[in-house]
Amino acid sequence: MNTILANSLNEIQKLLAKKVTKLLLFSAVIIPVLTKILVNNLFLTDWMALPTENINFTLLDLFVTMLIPLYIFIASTDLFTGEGERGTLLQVRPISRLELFVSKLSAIGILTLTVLLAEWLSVIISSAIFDNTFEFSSVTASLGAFIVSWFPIIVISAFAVMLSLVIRSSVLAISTMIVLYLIMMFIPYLLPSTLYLLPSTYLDWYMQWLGDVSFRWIIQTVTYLCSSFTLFFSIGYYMFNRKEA
Amino acid sequence: MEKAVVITGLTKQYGNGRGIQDINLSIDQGEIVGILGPNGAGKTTLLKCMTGLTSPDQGSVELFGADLQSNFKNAITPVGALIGPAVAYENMSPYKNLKMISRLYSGITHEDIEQALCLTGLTSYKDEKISSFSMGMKQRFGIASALISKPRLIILDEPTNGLDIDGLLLLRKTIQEISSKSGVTFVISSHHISELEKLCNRFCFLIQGQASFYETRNQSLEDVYIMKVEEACR
Repeated sequence: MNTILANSLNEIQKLLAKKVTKLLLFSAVIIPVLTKILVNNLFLTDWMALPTENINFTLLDLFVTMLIPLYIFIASTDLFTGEGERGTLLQVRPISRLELFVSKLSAIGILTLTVLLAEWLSVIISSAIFDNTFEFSSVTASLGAFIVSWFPIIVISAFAVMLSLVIRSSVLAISTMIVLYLIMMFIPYLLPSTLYLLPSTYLDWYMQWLGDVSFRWIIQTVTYLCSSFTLFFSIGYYMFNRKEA
Repeated sequence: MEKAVVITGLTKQYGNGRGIQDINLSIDQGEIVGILGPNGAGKTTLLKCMTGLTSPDQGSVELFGADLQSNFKNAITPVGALIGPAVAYENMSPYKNLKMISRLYSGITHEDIEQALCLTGLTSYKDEKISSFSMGMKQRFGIASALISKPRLIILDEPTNGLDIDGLLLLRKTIQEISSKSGVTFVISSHHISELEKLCNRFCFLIQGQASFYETRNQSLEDVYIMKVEEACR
C-alpha cells in the first residue's frame, strides 16, 4: 500500500478513536434533523417564512465557521503537539517526514470532508421528509456549496497544523488557536482593510458560487487560498522536518 | 560477512555539552552488540542518530549499505527499534497499535501480529487498552512493536526497564532464539552489565561521548567497565 495512504488510514483511525470526532460526526447528522423538526413542526412558525435553502445554508455556516474549525484545532493539536508530548510523533518506521506530515494533514482533511458530506446528506434527507417546499432541483446546488466549503477549511487546517508545530504544549496550542481564530473573525470590524487578508474570511465563499458567479472574484479567491495554503504548509513542514525525538 | 551497521565520524553535541563525539562503529550481520555507559554518556543519542530520530551534526550512518540520510526508507525498513519508553497510542489495544504499524510494511499478516504478541506474552491482553497496562506490560508492547516487521537489525534501548523477572527471562530467550534462528543483528543498550554479559558477543563502552570496544571475555565485563570509566576520568 502507498505509504501516504497507509499512514492516512492510521491517522484517521486515531482520530476516529477520539470522542470528539464521534461527537462531531453525530452532530453533523442530528443537528439538521432536529432543526428541520423544530422549524417545521414545533413553535418556530415565524421561521417558516424562510426559504428552505436559507435554513440549509445557516446549518452549513454553523459547521463551517464554528464546529469544524474548532474540531480542526483539536485534531491538529492532538496529531502534532499532543503526539510530541506523548513521544509518539516520530517513530522508527519506513515513512519519510514529508509523507508523515502530508498523511496527518490529509487525515484531518478527509475527516472534515466526511463531516461536510454527512451534514449535506442529513440536510437533504431531512428536507425531503420535513419541508413542504423542498425541490429536488436544489440538491446539486446544495452539494456544490458543501463541497466548495471544504477548500477554505483545508487552508484553516494547514494554518492550525503550522501553529501546533510552533507551540509545545497542547493546552497552550489549542487556546492560542481559538484566540487567533476569534481575532481573525472580529478584527475586520475594527480594521475593514484586513478583511480579505484573513483565511477565516473565505469560509463562507460558497456564497460566491450561488446565483451570478463572478469569475474574477473566484480566481482571486482561489489564488489567495492556494497561496496561503502553500505558505502554511511550507512553514509547517519546515518546522516538522526540524523536529527531533 | 555483510555489514549491518557502519557508523563513521558520528558527532552530535547538545547545548549542555553532552552528546557523542566522532563515533566509529562497524557491526556485522548476526552480531549482538551491547552498549554500556553511565547516565548521560550518549547511549540514547547514539541510538537515536542510528535510527534517524535525531540528525547528527557530523558523520554518517549506513544500515545494510544504505545511507540513513540520503536513502532513509531503504535504510530503515529492515530495522526494528525500541528507544526510550515504549511508544503507543494508549487509547487503543496492542493489536490495533500493531495493525497500524503493519500498514507501513509490506507482507505483515494477522499471524505475524499474533506471533509478536505471543513472543512478548501479550496474547491474553491483546484487546485491552494500553492505558490500563503497567510499565512492564507497556515495555513488552514496545518490544513487540520492534519485532513485528521481522527486522534484520533490532535496536533496543534499555529494554529491561520496568520488566518483571518473567518478562526479563522471556526477553532474553526471545533475543537468543531470534539471533540463533534468523541471524538477526541486535544492538542493545543497558545499565545491567550482567544482563548484557549473558546476551552479547561484543561490547561498546560509551563514556563521556567517546566509544571504545571490548570483544574477548578474559576479564569480567564489570572489571573492564570500571577500568574504562577510570581511564576516562584521568
